[in-house]
Amino acid sequence: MAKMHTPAMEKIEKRNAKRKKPVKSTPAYESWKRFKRNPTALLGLAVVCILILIAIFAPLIAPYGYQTQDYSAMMQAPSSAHFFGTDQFGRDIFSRVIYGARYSLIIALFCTIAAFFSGGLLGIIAGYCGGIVDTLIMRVMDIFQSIPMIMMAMCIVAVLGNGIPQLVAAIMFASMPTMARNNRAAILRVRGSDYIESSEAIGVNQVQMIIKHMIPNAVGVMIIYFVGFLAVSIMMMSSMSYIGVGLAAPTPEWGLILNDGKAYLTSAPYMMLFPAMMIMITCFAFNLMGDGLRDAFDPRLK
Amino acid sequence: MFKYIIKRILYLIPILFGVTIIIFALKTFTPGDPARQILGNSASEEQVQEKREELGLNDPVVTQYFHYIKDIVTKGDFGDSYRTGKPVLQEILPRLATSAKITLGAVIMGALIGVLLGIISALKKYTVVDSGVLVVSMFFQSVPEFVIALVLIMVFAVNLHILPANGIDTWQGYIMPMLCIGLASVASYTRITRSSMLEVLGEDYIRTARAKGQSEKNITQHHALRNAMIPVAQSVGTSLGNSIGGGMVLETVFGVPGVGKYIVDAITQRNYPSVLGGALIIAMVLTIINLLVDISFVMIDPRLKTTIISGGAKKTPRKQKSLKAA
Amino acid sequence: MQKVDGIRHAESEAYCYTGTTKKEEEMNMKLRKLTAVLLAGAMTLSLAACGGAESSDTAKDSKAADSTAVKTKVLTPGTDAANTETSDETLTVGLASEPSTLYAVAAGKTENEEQIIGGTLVDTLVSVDYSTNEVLPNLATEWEWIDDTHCRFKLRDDVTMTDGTLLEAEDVVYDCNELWVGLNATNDIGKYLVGATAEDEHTVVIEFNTAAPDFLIMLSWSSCGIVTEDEINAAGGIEGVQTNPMIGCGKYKFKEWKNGQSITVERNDNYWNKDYAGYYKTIVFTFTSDAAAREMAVESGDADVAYDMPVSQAATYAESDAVNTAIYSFGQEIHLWYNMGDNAGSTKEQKVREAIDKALDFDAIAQVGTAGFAGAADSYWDSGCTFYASAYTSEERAVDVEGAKALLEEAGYADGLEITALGLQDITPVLTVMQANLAEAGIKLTIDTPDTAQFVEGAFGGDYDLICIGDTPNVRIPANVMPFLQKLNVEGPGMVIGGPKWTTDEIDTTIQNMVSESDADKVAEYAAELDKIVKEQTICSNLYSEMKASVLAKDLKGFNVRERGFIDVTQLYK
Repeated sequence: MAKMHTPAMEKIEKRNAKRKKPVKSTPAYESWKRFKRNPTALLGLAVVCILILIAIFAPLIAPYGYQTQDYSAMMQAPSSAHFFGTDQFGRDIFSRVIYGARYSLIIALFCTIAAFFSGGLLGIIAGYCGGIVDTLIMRVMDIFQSIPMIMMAMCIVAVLGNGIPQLVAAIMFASMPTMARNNRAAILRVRGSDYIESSEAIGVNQVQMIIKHMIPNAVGVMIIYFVGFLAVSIMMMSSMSYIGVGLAAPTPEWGLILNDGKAYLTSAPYMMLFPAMMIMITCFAFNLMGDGLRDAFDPRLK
Repeated sequence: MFKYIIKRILYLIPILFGVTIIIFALKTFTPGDPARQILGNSASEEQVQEKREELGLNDPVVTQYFHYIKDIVTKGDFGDSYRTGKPVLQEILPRLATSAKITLGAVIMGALIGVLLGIISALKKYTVVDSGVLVVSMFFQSVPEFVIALVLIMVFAVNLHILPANGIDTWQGYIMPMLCIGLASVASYTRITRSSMLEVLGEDYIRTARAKGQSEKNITQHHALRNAMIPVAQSVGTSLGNSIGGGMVLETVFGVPGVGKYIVDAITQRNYPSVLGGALIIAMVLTIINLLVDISFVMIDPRLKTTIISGGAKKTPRKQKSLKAA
Repeated sequence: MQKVDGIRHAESEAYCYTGTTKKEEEMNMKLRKLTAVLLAGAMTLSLAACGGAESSDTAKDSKAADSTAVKTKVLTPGTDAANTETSDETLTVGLASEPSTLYAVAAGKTENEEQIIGGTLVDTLVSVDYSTNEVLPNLATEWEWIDDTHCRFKLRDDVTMTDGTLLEAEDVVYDCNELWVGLNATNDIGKYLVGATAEDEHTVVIEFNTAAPDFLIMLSWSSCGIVTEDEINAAGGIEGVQTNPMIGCGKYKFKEWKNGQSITVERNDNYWNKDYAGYYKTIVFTFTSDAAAREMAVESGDADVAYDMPVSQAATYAESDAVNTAIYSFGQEIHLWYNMGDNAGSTKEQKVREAIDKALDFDAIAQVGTAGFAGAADSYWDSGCTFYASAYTSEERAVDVEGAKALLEEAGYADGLEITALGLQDITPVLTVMQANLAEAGIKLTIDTPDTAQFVEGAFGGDYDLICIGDTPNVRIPANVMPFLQKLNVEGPGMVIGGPKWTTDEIDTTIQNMVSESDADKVAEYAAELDKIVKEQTICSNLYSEMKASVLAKDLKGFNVRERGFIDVTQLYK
């Protein structure tokens, strides 16, 4: 949009610039304003930020290496030398949990991104194109959805073997249908909303409408799913570690540490307690953030 | 409506075909020879080849697939388990019943607790109670299920001696698995109930009832609750279908002979007839449950007809068209 | 999963939405602040709770860490006197998994769970005192070797089978020819048998295809249980008997198999040996694959035995006052094999193998592998074998990182070396120790722990550099004595999983001699010779005696084991 440049206009612009807050109202800004006023969501966000910092600065925070074994200090209870105690190899659980933030968060992020780029994209395409494309994609997703998530993930791991990329692929395939469904619904809701329909009716430019209205509205809901799925994938990883598929030792992924500690439930509960707490805090934070985001992006949903 | 039901049942056919194709595709690429699994570690290569021939594993995948489908369609035969030699169907059905019982109990338990908490937080909205409920319900959603399961066993079986640690020989054995699955879903029920209650309480007819001088208790019990329960009941239906095959972790901890664990074991043993049979039966049950849930809701509340029959999409002309096309 | 679902449902409620008022918005704010405060409180509380747990644990655990030497506060097999009383009580045994059949012989396979349960139903020609490996009379009162491969057995004449008939020589002939040889030609039972002939009603001659005096011990295994043809037919033939094993003349009789839940056996009141008294009227086997849950069932009193616990996990109950723990070796030693076969990589070179052997911390490996219940092995032969003799000095077993590095440099791997170890889930802790050990010497070890099917395939094809596999040479039958170095196994047709995939004529002949020798001194000579060859060429590294572990109820007595370390549940009493 070309701007008019008259002296009067410039004066007005100058006056506007002097104002502390520019009068601006994009959906994203409104959402952020709502999100900011929500202490639980902010708490979630703060915890997530702390976790990310821990993951980034893991080598600086962790007093020991995550693989360093010490047979003079096996199965020690928490102390000042080992904040979270040591495991059956004399490895420092605190260091492992700190490095674990790196592995767990990154794997969870990869899983979520992968799920978004497979299922999510398919859902968006289905929702946007509609018609035969929609039917086709969603029927295929129906088929995938008929296979329980963990079973699907196990089958994929059986084919591909253990390892981080394989685990990501497994969780991606398993969560594809849910992702597709959610994203399709998000797009459909935007498509079906009155203002889009009326804009369509009065003949607003299609591209402009997509960029200005549909994407910002749908993205909000998608971010909610994105954050929610981070928690889901962390929980799924721990389930898979329990069954014994996915990652190989000595990867300090929380689910694996937790599963290692399970053997010592009664004699050394701290081996299980700390990784379980990290998983809990992380999922809690993601869930709170997700709740906050839902309120922020979609006040109708509460 | 009748046409809709028929159509949904017909949908089952491509879904089941799709499931068999996916599993067959995965089977083709999965390393690990089932014949060797059956014969054990000391069998020679010749014997393994003989066994492969006997099981038809040397045939082209397409031929294997064709035989498999033919046996199901013509004889209702899902094959025999490689491990026990017994018909797959005969092994799965009792396990499915066990899983179904637990899932049903769990969903009811989860929904009861969730609804109760939801109502409390809606009635006591914006108080300490409300936020307390949120924290508690979210806690169970954020801890891996086997951790909760082990802690429950430790408390109720080892320390209090009131429930059996594992097994389902007595009805008490069902309580902990149900509780475990149920608790994990409390958060979502609480959330749905709370928001749905708040919405209903703001509706015109509630205001009218208030204006007429009805007691708060009466309003809650007779008007608000009934209408607020519709979305909750809907989500109960969906999770019923979704969690039947997904309980392998808890089935492992509690020693429950369920269908989830059966399939997990079958995958590691490369017991393909059991994997395929299990996947097919779960898919069938899932689809049928979803259908029954949808139908019963349309019967209870005709307002939902449009929502359900058009697959959740609201007044999207294109969607309607595509459904007719399908 | 739940989270995503929740969102989806929430979405469908939107159709009856009404707006929030200004006042509600404010209230909403208040609620959120409250929630935040509560949440922070909950987190601090849980942290504080952990802090509390720490302090109470510290004292106990530092004590446990001190006693790194061999621990003693566990049950040893065969220490209690035999039971003399009977009762109407029930014994509940928690197994890790459900057997696929209750008469594996009919299915042509062997299965641990089946052997535990089946061992209570059938009786064998001879029995063995597992503390001395001495063969004792059982269904056969006496026996003699006619020549190297033929053995004549005299049977008792008072043995009643489940169908009330008396045991005859023809029944043993049927078992040997039709079941062991006929159905199990591929596994350890049938592999070495030619057949049997009846000389009279109570005399039978069994023929083996090679000479091995310890074949007698093999005949005491429950897979060589004596049954009759009539019993099998009455139970539904080869197919039916697997689910309805009303067979044998054992101490217990089959009662019920509740699929997926439990298997029940009942005391055989017609048992031929009147000296035996079974305390429990019924024994119920249940299945729980989670070891922690299995143990907790014993602690809560729901079960009496938690069978087959991971050793590290069982060791944590060694000091417990609530349960008894049994941790014992059963003559199996774990070896680390180096791939030397056709598709071997760097481990083909002896210098590399030596370097790995030098870099490994065997004490740490044994500590992790046996939870401190056994030290590092100092011979190829398990210390439970009669012919065991120490073959390594402690200097030779010590960690020598510099020596390892020097050897690697000589072999041309000064810049580092990457190798893979193949194993099942349960060996992961041991491989984790090795990984850290080898990293010191500049070797990067990748741990590959696929599922069982993939493991078997990889182990067959020699698709590994290192593999940990054990053998039980205390019973000198061909399948047990260095099976990985026998020509028959390495070059086919009999194949084994794992091992070096390589052997020499010299090794093979010595193994054959050792198996067929009956003179104890000569056996020890051959054993020492083999030990020397293994050591000189670093064919494998000897790790530790494998341990089996179970958790038993506190008041349970009469803990005894059978072949391969299976608990003999028929001997337990209160």
